[in-house]
Amino acid sequence: MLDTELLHEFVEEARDHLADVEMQLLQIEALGENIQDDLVNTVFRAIHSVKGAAGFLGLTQINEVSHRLENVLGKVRDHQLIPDPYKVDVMLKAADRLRRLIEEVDTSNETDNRELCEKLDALLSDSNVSQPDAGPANADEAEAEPEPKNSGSKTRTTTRKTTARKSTKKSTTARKPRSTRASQKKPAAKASEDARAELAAAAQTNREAEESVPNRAERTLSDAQTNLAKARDAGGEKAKSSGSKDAHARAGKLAASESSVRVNVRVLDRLMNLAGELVLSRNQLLRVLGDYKQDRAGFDSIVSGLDQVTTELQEAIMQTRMQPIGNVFTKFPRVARDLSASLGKNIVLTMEGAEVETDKTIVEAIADPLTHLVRNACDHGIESPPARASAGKPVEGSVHLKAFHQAGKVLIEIVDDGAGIDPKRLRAKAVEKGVISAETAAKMCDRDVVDLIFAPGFSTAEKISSVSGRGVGMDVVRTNIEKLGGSVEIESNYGFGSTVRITLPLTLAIVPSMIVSQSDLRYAIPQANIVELVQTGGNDKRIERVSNSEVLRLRGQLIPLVRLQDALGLDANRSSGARDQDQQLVVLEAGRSRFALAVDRVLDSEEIVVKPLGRHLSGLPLLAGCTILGDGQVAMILDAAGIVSQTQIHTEADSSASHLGEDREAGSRAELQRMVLLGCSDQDHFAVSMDVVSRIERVAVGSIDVVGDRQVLPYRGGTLSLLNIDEVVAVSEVDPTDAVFVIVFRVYGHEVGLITPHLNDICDCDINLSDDATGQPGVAGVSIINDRTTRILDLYGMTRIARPEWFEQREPGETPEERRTLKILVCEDSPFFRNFICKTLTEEGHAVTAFEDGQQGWEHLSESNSQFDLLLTDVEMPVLDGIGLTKRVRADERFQQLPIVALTSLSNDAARQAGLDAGVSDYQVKMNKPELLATIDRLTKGTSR
Amino acid sequence: MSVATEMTNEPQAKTIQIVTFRCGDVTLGIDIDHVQEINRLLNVTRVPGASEMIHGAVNLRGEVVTVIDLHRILQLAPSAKPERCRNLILNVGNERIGVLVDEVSDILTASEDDLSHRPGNVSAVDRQFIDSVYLREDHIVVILDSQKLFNAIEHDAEDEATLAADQKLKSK
Repeated sequence: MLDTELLHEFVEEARDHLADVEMQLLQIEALGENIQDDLVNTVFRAIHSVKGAAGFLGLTQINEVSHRLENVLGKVRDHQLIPDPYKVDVMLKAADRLRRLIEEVDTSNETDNRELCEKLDALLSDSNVSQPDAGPANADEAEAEPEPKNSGSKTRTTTRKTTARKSTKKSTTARKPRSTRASQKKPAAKASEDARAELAAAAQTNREAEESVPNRAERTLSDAQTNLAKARDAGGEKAKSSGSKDAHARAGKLAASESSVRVNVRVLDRLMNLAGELVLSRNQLLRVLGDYKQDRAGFDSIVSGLDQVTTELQEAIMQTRMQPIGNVFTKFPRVARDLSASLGKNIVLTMEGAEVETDKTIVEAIADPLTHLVRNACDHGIESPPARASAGKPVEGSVHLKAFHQAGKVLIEIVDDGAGIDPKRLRAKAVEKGVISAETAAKMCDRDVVDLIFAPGFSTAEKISSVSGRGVGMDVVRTNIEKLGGSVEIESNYGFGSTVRITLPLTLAIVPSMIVSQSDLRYAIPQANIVELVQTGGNDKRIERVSNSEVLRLRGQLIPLVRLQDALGLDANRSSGARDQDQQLVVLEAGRSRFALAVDRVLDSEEIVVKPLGRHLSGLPLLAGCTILGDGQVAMILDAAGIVSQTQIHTEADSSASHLGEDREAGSRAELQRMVLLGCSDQDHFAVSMDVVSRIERVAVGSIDVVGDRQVLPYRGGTLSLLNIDEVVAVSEVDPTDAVFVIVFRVYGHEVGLITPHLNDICDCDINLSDDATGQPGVAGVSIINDRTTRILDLYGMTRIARPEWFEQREPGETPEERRTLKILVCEDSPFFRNFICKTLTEEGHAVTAFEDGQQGWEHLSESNSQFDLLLTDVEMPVLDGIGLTKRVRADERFQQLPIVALTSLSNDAARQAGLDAGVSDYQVKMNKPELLATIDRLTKGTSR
Repeated sequence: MSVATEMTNEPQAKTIQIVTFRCGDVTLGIDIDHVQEINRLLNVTRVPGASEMIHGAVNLRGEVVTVIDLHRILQLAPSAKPERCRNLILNVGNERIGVLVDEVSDILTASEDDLSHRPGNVSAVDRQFIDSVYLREDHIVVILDSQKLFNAIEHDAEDEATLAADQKLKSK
């Protein structure tokens, strides 16, 4: 029935009209009785236009509400109604309602707005008196009681008007009558005076103490308006002259000229596309012409002209998408106002940099997170007036919003001078909520702790107020901002306030990306997802296999590895073997998951323009869209989150608690021992702990010399003693081979090589399976590795059997006190290692008491009261780990001097350092018996028994 | 005069123009109203995870257009002469897709009456995409229904998606 085109136009226009009304009403409120005609007129005209158009289109309810509002504004304009917080409240609500009706214009006629209209009407009949005690303060309680009507006395209004006028002219004189009135009002107010009036009064007295209200109001207002006007001009949205600094002059011109047109965003997008293509064509032309340049001199200027125009065209079109951040800022004065009222706080919101521009999409998307942060600052940040007073701060809390450009990014800061964040409380809360462990909490520095408020499921508000804590946490804020390619961080000075800093890209349309190639196709990966680029090689960057999946070991961390060709389902002929040594990887982060993506090649970084994929191709989980590369070829953009869900990577790499993540990861591979798998034949499989191996060499059988009954290998000018497995351990047979592997290890300064015909693998295995069941000399235990029964060799034990003379020499010579008995406490969760260590130590004549975890060990230790000479502990254990145990032991005065040796199967520097920090005396690898014994000797030297 | 007589002779007859092209050994046609342009954009980028019918995506003056491969959809043998291949950009309901064809022949004008809507035994072409058949001197032109082509790839894409989801569930 209605012309939809017309209706659409109405909605657009009404939106524009109403956009500024809120701000202007707030200004009217701030000015109070000092009514500024131009300002009121502007609002009046805006509402009037809405009313007119609504009437024409048959939108009865919109017409109704705007009509009433217009009436009220008319009275204000005629100085028959003095705006006060309550009245402005009703007007704001009417404006809100209008906005809502306009957003749902189709159903607007079915809504019921009688109550609101009645309230507006009530204002009219009540125009003569200011109502300090009327209406509930809480702005959220939309339906207020109609305020008590006072028999209007025109005389009073007139008096007020005069005072008002006087106050404009002579602000100094205006102060006196005002304050008197304020003090008069107070006793008049009901006993249950609402918070709003009190606040308003407090604010007034407070302000008056400093300077006159009109002056101050004028100043903040004109500041705000200058900002706004600047913003608008910069945005090129609407022509509002900002030539004069005077607010009056500007207000008059608000609705005047029209130097802009409304353009559909789609048209702009098309223009963008075409400009991009033009750039491409230009580039191609430049390339071709480059070859002929010398032939035609005239070409040069033409080409550079084209070049310039194209660049400018592209920039201009990009500019059309830019909008001032002020478009979002405008709503915050209202937010702050309503919050101050409902929370009984005194908050002054100041804004700066409203003219800073960023992409339309970003401006729109940042509104919600920013609102949340402003609400947070008001609700949790700023303290209640009494609290502020007792802290020696001004009663008025300040929240400052600031936007500015920095290094090609847009920064927004929300600074409050409130209480800041209490790191102690936050720590306790985080532990209580299970976000981090108590131990991690203790380790974290305050800055990291503060960062925890971005962790999922975290809200520090002791009681959930209606203001914040509506189920939206800071984690959502962070997620939303990160979705835009931005970041957010918080800085807090406990007792003095906090600063939240948001960094946003200038534009979403252009995404800095890394181009990678896989199977001859190029793909783009947004830089925002990329943590680092890695080329495998060396020990700290290598690809390993854990059970069925590949992982990247990167500086002691294990990161799941995904091969792009697998993720994309490309059938590539896998060139096995050497490829792992020279693999290019991109480490990506998506949400809380981190993984490494193996690609053929990492090519280059490029700023790409994101294009949507056709409808038929949307919804593909792996792709975030596509783009056109510099040469015109289409390339797909990979979606890191999609790859995660597609390949079902589960990582707990919680970025806010990454230390924790590492710990947990370490826990899960605690029992993994790096083993060298070897064998003499198909029947006999052995394993040697990699930790005790110095190196492995491959030698021709012919190069092994036999000296007496022993085999030696000429090596670096000397000889290396060799040991055959079958010399010590019973084997079924030894396969004859041309070349053998020599596993070199050290025992008390002697280098020994163990000869093995087959070297099967080096892998991380779980050998927490069985203990020494065979009882064979030189065998530490038996385990199932790769479905084979494998004997784990005790190289030290083997050497002792094969070369007893080395031990005889050592025992009397090196350590005279060797034979003494030490009392050693062992904490080790793996039964295999526990037995192994106990056996080793017992063989040496020590008295050993062993426990499964740190907790049991600690209990025994503290009860036994310094009965022990040494503590030997595993690092990764359930209940209480080695670090925790060490800390406890060191915290106890009795055990300050107790030597603590931590056993580990990991050579992780970070973990090592953590241990040393905690008070560990030394580190030893589990299987390295000689070193372990030597350390024990060294540490207990001088210990009296 | 002739126009007048034609009008009177065939009162309801509308003529349509058909772009004819070859694909494999079949001559096909599409209503010219649905053809936006014919170009040589053959540099198609594969889209991993997309439906079998979809050949990839191509850059059409800054717009990324999905390209389908008729050979695969109609199960025809691929072309032997790539230099004659063309990309037919169809535009249906403001949506564009590209169709890779072996060779564009010409444009023929036909009266709707000459189109047989009950195709005979056209075994070479999947029936669901056939709008009608036009008999031309020595051979027949199979006229495709572009809307049905659009629908088909869309459904296929959906099927793939559900299939993938199913597989994922199973593998879990």
